[in-house]
Amino acid sequence: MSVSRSKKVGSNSFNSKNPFIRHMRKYRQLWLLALPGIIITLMFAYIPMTGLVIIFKDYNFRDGIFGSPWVGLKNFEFFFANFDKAWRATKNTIILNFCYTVFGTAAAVMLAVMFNEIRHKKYLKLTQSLSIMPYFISWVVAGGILRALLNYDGGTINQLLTSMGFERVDFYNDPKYWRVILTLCNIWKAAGYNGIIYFSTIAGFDTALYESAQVDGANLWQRIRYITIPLLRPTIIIMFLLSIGKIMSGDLTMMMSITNLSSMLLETTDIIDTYVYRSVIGVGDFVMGSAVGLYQSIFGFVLVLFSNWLVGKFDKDYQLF
Amino acid sequence: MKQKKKMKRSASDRILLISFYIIIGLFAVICLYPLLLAVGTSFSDEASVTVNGYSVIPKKFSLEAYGMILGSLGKNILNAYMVTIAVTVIGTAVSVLVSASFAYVLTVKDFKMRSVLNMFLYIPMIFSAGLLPWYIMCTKYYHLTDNFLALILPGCMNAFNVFLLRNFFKSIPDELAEAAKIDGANYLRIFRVIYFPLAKVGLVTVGLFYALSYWNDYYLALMFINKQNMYPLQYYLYNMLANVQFIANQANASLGYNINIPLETTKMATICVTIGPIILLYPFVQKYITKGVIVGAVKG
Repeated sequence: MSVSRSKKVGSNSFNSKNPFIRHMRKYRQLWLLALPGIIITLMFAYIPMTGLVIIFKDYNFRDGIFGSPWVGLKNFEFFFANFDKAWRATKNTIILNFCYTVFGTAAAVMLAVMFNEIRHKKYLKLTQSLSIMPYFISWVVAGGILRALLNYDGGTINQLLTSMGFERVDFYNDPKYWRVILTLCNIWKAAGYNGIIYFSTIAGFDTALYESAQVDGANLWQRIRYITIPLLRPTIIIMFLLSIGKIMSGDLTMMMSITNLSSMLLETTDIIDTYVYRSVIGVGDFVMGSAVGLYQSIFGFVLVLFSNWLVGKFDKDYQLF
Repeated sequence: MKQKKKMKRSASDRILLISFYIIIGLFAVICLYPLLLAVGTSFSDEASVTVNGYSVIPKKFSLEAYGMILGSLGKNILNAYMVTIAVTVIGTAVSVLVSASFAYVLTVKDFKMRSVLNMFLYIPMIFSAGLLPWYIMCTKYYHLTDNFLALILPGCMNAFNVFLLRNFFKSIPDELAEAAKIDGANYLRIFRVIYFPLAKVGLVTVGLFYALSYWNDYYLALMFINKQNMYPLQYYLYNMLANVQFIANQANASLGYNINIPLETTKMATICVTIGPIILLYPFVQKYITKGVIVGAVKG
């Protein structure tokens, strides 16, 4: 009783005409807690968005984004005149992301299904631990070791090829192999980890289904084909739809570590992120860099909305917003 | 007849199961093999690597590469190590604090503005300005070039991690906070005394995610760090790998130079030194991250 009275007195003293002041009095500690996060997010996410006006500017470093003179749509003219290079980067980004998603998901789901059947606890634990190890390794390290595998001189693959009587392959000078290599690298790094996440989904399925199927005489393959896969299908489809939203994004550090942005390989490995990096930080070409960056942001945004809409069509529960 | 059919069925099951064991085992070996290759090569004699190629078991054992790392490269590598350790420790502490306090605010039921803050955190996940404006802001306006903070601040508020933490906090029963509130505890105190200690698994998981990303990051160094004595380990390694290639490409000019330095084995030894701490802490790290992700990923 006395508690509630003192509370009432307390809240009375908080009463103020101005709702803003009232709100701030009541929640100032929460705002204080959120403040560092707000500042960081403003600094590194929102304020850079205003920098997108650079596309309408003739940028020079001394005057900065806001001081440089306006040039209207002139940069767009230049962008469309040089569209072929940007188009190559866009095409590569989409193709690579498509490969990563399709083959990466397939590998992860297969691993998960197989993990689920292994009854030998120690074996399961050991193989799981090893499978997710690459997830913790940086791309720089992965790129360095990949070189030991693919090197023309003494690389493991080429040793193998020569010992079997084949010609050696000069991987680092031939772009045609790299879509496959990059996809494999991605599987190596992430499939184990994603497999464990799918595995935990499978572990949540109703075991009664499996038991009754077994009683009815379904064999292992049938149990996988007619129980596990159909139950996983919604998760897989949703992951797939969500990945549409990310199809324009790329990983600069992965590409740099693995290909070292070698000019020999750009034909298949130049993605939007590396293109922007090369044009801005390499050549100092702010016009193309900013134009391609802007179009990556806008298309990425549209695609996220689109994929979210698709997810919503499929299952409202999984919609992101 | 019936008996026979059953036998046959279980035989086909067994073959399938055995192939699962084999495929899983193979995948595990494929995951491990590249790392073993790096370790094996790092303990090899450079000349034997040049002649016989890289191998998991050194053809001719040598500690020459580690001699290089401890010797003539020692000062630089130790320095890079110190930078990385400082960035990882400070960065993780700052990140966890910033993210956890933000995540806590997102879970306070009677705070109506939390949906706005949710949106505020969410929007950058779907729309980002991209590399260029971000880069210009950081270098031109925040003066982060060659600044230690450049290696920490841009990475310390990862929306994914904040949402993960929020899910952990959400699993703590509201009644605890309600009870504390009735006892007169304010928000800061509720956060400190109830949420922070009770979400330990979540905090450790997210802390490990941050630690791993700081340890493995070279993107920020690539963007902002020009001074060699501020290179973190990964960026140092990146330069080492990239420059060696550069030298190798121009074999004529650098032939004499190449012979003196055990290039390949030193690269591999540096790789081993870089991943060493991760491998040592691996059982611990792995337990928390897989468990944490599975718990935290449950949609809240």
